Amino acid sequence: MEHSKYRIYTVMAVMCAAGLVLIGQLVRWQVVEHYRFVAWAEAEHQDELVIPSRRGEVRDRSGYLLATDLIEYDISVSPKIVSDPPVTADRLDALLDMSREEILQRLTSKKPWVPIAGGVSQSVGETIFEWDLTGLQVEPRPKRVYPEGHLGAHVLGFVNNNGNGFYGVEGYYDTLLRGKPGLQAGERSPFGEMIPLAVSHFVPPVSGATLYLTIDRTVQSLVQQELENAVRQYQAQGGSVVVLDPKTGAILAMAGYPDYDPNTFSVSDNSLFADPNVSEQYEPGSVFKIITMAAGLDAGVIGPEGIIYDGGLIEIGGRVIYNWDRQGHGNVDMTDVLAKSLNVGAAQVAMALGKDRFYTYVKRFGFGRLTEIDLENEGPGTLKTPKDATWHESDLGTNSFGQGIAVTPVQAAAAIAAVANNGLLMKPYAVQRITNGERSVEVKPIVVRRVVSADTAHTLTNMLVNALKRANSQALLPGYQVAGKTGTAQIPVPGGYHPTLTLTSFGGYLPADDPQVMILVIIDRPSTSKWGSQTAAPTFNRIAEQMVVLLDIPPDDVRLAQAGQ
Amino acid sequence: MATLFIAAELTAGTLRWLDFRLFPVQPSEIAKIIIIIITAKILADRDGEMNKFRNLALSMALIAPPLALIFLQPDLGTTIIIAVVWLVMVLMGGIHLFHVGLLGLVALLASPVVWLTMADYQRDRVLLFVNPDQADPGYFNIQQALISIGSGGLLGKGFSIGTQNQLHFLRVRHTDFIFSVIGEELGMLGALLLFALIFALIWRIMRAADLSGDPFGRLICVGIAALIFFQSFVNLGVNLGLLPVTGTPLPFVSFGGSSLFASLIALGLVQSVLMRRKTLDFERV
Repeated sequence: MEHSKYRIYTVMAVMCAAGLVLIGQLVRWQVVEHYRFVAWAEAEHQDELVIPSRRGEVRDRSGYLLATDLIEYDISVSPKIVSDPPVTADRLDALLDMSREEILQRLTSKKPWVPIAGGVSQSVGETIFEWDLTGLQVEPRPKRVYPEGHLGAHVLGFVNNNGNGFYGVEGYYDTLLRGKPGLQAGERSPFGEMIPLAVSHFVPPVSGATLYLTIDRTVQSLVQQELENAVRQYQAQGGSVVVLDPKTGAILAMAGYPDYDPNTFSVSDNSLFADPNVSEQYEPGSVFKIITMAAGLDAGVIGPEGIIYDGGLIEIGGRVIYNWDRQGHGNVDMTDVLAKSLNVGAAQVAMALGKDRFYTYVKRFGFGRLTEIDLENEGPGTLKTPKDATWHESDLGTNSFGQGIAVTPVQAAAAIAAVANNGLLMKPYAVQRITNGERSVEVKPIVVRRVVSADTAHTLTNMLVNALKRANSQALLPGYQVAGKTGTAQIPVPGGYHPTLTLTSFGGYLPADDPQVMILVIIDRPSTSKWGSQTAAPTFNRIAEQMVVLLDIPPDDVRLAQAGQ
Repeated sequence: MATLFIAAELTAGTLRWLDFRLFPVQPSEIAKIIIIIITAKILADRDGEMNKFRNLALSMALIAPPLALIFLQPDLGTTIIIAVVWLVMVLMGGIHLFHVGLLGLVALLASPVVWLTMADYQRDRVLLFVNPDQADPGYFNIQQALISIGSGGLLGKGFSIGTQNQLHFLRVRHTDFIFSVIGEELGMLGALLLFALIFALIWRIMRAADLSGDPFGRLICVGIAALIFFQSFVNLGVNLGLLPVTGTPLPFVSFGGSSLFASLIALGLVQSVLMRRKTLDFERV
């Protein structure tokens, strides 16, 4: 009997010990870690409902709508509580672009929640919403639309289905455009719904800002049309055009072809998303002689009437440089170097400058670094300087006529515009005004730096005007003094340059004495002619011809007569 | 003996619930009581001879078939509870301590077999306990139980105003997780009070065991004390995150007819043991 009493006590002791473990655990949860669990419980039924903000619009410089938000609806169903699936399916079938079987299948699914259709138009969504059918959910969501379709696609960019902006101004100004989402905090049920009476605080959403671009819708449309025509006419692979106001750096139009429609970005070839004018680089070719000549004039190593001897070839750093026509042109002046686009002449200027001064000027013009234009994904181009290990003595020669250096079109346009603008390099920009409600901020032009003296700029402008005249360029526009330069660059391929393919360009501005517009035309791999003078120059001409009408630039004699009065 | 086999017959059925006229009863609840009575009878009849292995084996052989059937039902919780109750009873019945060690060894050797014959969801629950995965939907309940208890604190949030259970974050709150509700609403004070009540009840049953003059009565009381204690321990252990989820109700507290029915029968048996002792005392006088 004593034996069994001893065992009873043992069992009791084990039970007490087990009870103590339970109490220990109770103390641990309810005393030691109490606050952690309180916070956890709070977090569980305290919820913050994010109220989306309305994304700002994008408009052109005169207010034409280029991008805005519309409402789309997502239709979904909780099949368990749908009252009459066949009848509901009939009603939905009449409105939705789906087969009745498919709708019915979703209405009778075993899952607790099934999406039926996404991105339904506003009218259809609102109709279904007004039926007020149990089990059918109709959720609004914003849909970015671009009423002008392709117009300015590269400058605009697009907004994906999660409301994130990419490329162009949609990407660059994403934070400004999206605004600040509002917040509604309160208690929620375990099913995730907010309990309406338990809202503890509310922060209203702030709408995004509206952007007014420097782009003019009409100019943009014209430029895109002319670019597309040119690419077709010259059977080219593509092309791009930058049009800017040389006095401010404001982009009036910027086009890349081929482009895409941002309304349907999700089914577009995503290699088309990046703006070739800011994200892609090319070897500028002879257009770059403008820079070399500006440097030579500004440093005083050459004068506009200075004569050099062109023997048809020149050796720099062990490399022989030829003219495009493999001919020697004898004694030529600097305007001839531009008019005949003599590589030998440009190389002589660069050699006279020496590598230090030459690259100082090249960098001053903004090459090899970002222009800081307000568009997403800008590239810096590729500039090798004597500081780089890969730089070679011969690069001084080839760089002087735009070979072995890669630039973005917007860099090239800004640099040429600096010559037009009395030697002041302006920062290019695409947004003119930012407004939000009552507030409005005007973007002011920014001078990056003086790259050459005003005298140099004027002298060079005159040389460029005369060079075009001497060459009888197709870019010339009757009634206007046009300054500019053609370029025909071989296309770099691994190990050298492609034997036949070229990238042609023309950069110029008008009227030469008071430049109102700077236009850079680039045609990628034209087939009808490989020369800039026969592809890019006439395209420039066609754009300029319409531009003077659109921008109301009177012919020089009319303007000068008016000014004289 | 016949009752045992009838009970076994009942538990063997795929049907887990027997519909008596008044309310459905889980046969395994009744089986617990019957197994306690049978085991008590076997042990009491061999009082003083239980240190012989033959007798232990006999007792084991008698509970093995119904236990196997309950295990295959599958109801692992009840199987373990009955096994523990039986173990406590044979310990009290006076088995040899060497045999206790032997039983432990057998249990160890049998554990892989048990693991392999367990239902998938049971294995999942054990694995989830050993290696908690917050993303597992099964973890939600355990987590909610802990949040309820933990956020209750010392004094609780007040009767019937516990946010976690009232807003239905806590599932099966009126049955297996009733303790979490108590912990949340009445706090540690209420939980300790409940512990004290369970302790008092077991204390009184053990006192009855102590007072009962005969081994049969004593063993019935011990078995029932072990049953109530261990069921409570398993239920509270699950609620407090000490044990894997088993689905064991808290005796006298959880909502559910058959558990309460069986518990009341058990208390009735204890009562009858006490009454019988009084008669014996009277006869002795």
